[in-house]
Amino acid sequence: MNNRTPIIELRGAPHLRKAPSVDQIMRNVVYALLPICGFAVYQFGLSALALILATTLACICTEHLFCRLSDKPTTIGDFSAVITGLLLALTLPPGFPLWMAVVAGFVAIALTKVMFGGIGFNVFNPALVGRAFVQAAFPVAITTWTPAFAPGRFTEFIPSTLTLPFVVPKSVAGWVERIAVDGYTGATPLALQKFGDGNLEHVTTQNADLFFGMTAGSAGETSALLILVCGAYLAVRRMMDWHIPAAMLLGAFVTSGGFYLVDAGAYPTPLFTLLSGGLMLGALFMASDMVASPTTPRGVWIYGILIGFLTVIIRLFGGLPEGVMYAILFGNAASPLIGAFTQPRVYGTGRKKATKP
Amino acid sequence: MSGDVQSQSPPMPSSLSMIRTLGLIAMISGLLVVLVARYTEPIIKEKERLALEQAVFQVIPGVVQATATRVSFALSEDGLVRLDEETGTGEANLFAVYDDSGMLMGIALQAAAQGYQDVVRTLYGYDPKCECIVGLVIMKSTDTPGMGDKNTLEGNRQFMANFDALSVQLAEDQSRLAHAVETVKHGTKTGIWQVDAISGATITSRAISRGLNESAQKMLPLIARHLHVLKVNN
Amino acid sequence: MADLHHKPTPITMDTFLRGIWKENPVFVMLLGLCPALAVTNTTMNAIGMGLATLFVLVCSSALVSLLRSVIPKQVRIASYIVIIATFVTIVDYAIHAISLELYNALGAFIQLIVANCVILGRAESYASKNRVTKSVVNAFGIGIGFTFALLCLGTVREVLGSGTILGYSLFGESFQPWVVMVLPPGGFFVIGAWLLLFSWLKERKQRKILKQEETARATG
Repeated sequence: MNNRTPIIELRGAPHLRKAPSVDQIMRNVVYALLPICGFAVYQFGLSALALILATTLACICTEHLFCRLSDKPTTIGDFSAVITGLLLALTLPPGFPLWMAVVAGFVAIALTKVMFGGIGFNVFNPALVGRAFVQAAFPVAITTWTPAFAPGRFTEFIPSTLTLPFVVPKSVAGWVERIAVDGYTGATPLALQKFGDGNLEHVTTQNADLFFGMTAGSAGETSALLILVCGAYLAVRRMMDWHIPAAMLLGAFVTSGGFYLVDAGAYPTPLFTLLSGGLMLGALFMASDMVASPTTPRGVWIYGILIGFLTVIIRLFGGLPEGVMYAILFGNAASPLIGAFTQPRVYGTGRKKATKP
Repeated sequence: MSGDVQSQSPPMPSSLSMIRTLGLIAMISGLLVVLVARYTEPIIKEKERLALEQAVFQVIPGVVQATATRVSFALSEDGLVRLDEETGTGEANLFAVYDDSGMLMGIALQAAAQGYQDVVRTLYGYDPKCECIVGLVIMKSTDTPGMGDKNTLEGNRQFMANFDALSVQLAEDQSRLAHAVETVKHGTKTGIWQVDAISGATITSRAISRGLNESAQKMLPLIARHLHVLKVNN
Repeated sequence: MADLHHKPTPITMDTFLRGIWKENPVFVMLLGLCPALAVTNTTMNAIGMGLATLFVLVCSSALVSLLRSVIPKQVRIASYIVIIATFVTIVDYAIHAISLELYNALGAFIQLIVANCVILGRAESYASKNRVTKSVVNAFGIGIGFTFALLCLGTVREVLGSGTILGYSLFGESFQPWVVMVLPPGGFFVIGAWLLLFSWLKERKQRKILKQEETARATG
C-alpha cells in the first residue's frame, strides 16, 4: 500500500469489519454496568458506593499484584477486572462489610482468573466464585439485608459497612429499626416468599415494585427494568450473545410456570420468579460471560435453559432463597461438555454420521 | 530385593514359602495387636465410663459430683434390669442418679436421630417429679462446623435453655406423651413442649427434638411403670 | 541379598531431611492428600493425625526392612498391607486410650491410615531395598514432613476458621470466623495456597540461578 490515503477505498471481498478488541468490549460492558451501579448508590447510599469501590479496587490490585509476581506485563488495562469488581459489588448486600468485600474481590480474581491463566481462560465467572466464597465463609453477613431508600443514606454508612478487618460486623437490627418506615423489614422479596415474615407463610411482593427496584436486596439486582435496558444496549451493540439471557429467562419462566400451575398457593408466579432476586442481573451480565459459556448455536440455548431451570429448582427446594449463583456456576462447569455435544455439522459433510476418523 | 528375585528366579517360589512368610507376618501382627488391645482395653473402658459419668451428671441439675452415685439400668418391655459396674452385661440405656441419701435426683437417657450429616446423639436428663427434660448434652454431632456442631450448639445458651424445663408430660393413659416434642421456627415457641430452633441450623435442631421425642415416647411410659423401683437406691 | 549389600550408601543427614523438604509427601509428592484435607480443620487434629501416621510409617518401615529378605515378591503387597494394618490398629487403640476427644475428632481417618499411599510407597520403594536403620531414618523424615504439612494446613484453617490456635482464642470474642475454612472446601483452598507459595518460591530460586548464570556468562 502506498502512503497516500485514497479518496475511495477499494478493496476486494471479503468485506470484513474489524472485530472489536477485547478492551473495547470490556469498556462497553463497564458503560452498561455504570447506570446499574448508579441506581444502587441512589438506592442504598454511601455504603453501596463504598462497596463498589472496594470490590473494584480489590480486583484491580489483585490482578496487578499477580501479574507482578509472575513477571508478566500487567493486564489491568483491559477493564475485565473492573467488570468483575462491579458485578461482584452488585451481587453483595449493600451493607456488606468492606473487608469481606475485599476478600471476595481477591478470591474472585486470584482463584478464578489468574490461576487459570488470566483473561480468556477462566472456567467460571470470577465474580460469582468470589461471591460463592464469601457466601460459604460468612453466611450470616451475606444474608443481612438492609432496607432501600433509607433516609440519610447519603450522609451515613450502614453500620456494618465499616467493620474492622477480621471482626464480626455490627448488628444492623438497631439501625434498621431507627430508620425504618412503618414496619419495613429488610428481608428480600425472595426470602419473604420462601420463609414468610413471621405472620404469613408466603409473602409476595408487588411485581411493579420488583420491576422498578423499590425493594431490598443485593446492591445491584433490584431493578429489573434498568438491568434489561443496560443489557439491551450491549445486545444491540452485539457485544453480548442475547440468546443466553433469553434462554435462561425462558427456562426459569417455564419451570416456575409449571410449578405454579400445579399448586398456585405454594409456588410463586412465574413473573415473580423472573423479576425477583438476581435472576435478571445473572442472566444478562453473568451467565453471558463470554469465556465460561458455550459458543455453539444450540449449546447456548441448552446452557441458558439449564441455568434457568436450576435456578428455580434451587430457589424452591434448596436451603437458600436464591439460587442464581450456584445455577450459573453449575452451567459454567457444564459448558465445555455442552459445547462438545453440540458441535455444528461441518459444511459439506453428511447430516447423519459425519466423517469418521 | 525385588531385583534380586527377578534376576535369579522367573518361576514362582514354592507356595510353601509364601504361606510360611504370610503366616509369620500374620502371627507377628496378631501378637502385637492382641498385646496392645489387652493393655489399652481397661484404660479405654475407664475413660469412656468417666466421659459418660460426666455427661450424666451434667444433664441432672444440682448434682454434687463427689457424693452422687450413678446406677445403670437396662430398661425394655421385658422389665428393668440393674447393671452392676463390674459385672454389667447387656446394654445400659438408662442411668439413674442418686444423691448421698440414696434418693433419685434424675434419670439420664440417650437419644439419637439423623441430622444434616450424620446421626446426632444426645443425652438428656429427665426429672420424674416435674415430668420434664431438665438438661441436655450433645454426645456427637458432625453437622456443619460453626452452625450445627457440638461446641456451637452447646455454646448457644438461648438454644440450650430450651432443655432447662421441656415438658414431656405423659398423656392420661400413660402410654405416650401428651404433646410430642417438636421443633418450631426460631422465635415462634409457644408451648412448653416446643423447642425453639436455631436459625441457620434448623435441620440439626429438628434432629435433636426428633431424637428426644422418639426416645421419650418409648422410654417414659416404661419408666412410669417402674418408677417405684427407681425411686430409691438400695 | 549379597549383591545388594556390596554398595551400602551411608546414612547422611539428607536421608532424613529429604522427606521434610525435598520429598515432602504432601507438598512435593502430593501423596496422602485424603487425610491431609479431611482432618486438618484444627491444629490438634493435624498434630494427632501427623504423629499417628509418623508412628505407623516408622514401625512398618522397620518391620518391612527387617523382613525384606524373607518376603517373596509375589506376596509382598499383601505382607506390607498386613504389617501396616497391624500398626494402624495399634495406633487406633493407643489414641482411643490417650484421648477420647481426639479419637472422636479423627474418626474413621485413623483406620484409613492403612490406605495412605505414603506409607505403602515407603515400604515398597525404600524399606524393602534398604537396611533397617536407614529405612527408619528415612521414614522418620517423611513422617515429620507429613506432620509438618498437616500442621501448615491445620494452623491456617484453625486460625481463620475459628480464630483459635490449639483451642486458645487468638483474637477474642469479636473475631469473625471464616466458616468455609473448617469445611472441606477450606482444605482445598488452603492446600492450593500452600502449593502455590512453595512452587513460587522454587521458581523464583531457579530464576535467580538462571540470571546469575547469565550475568556470569556476560561478564566472563
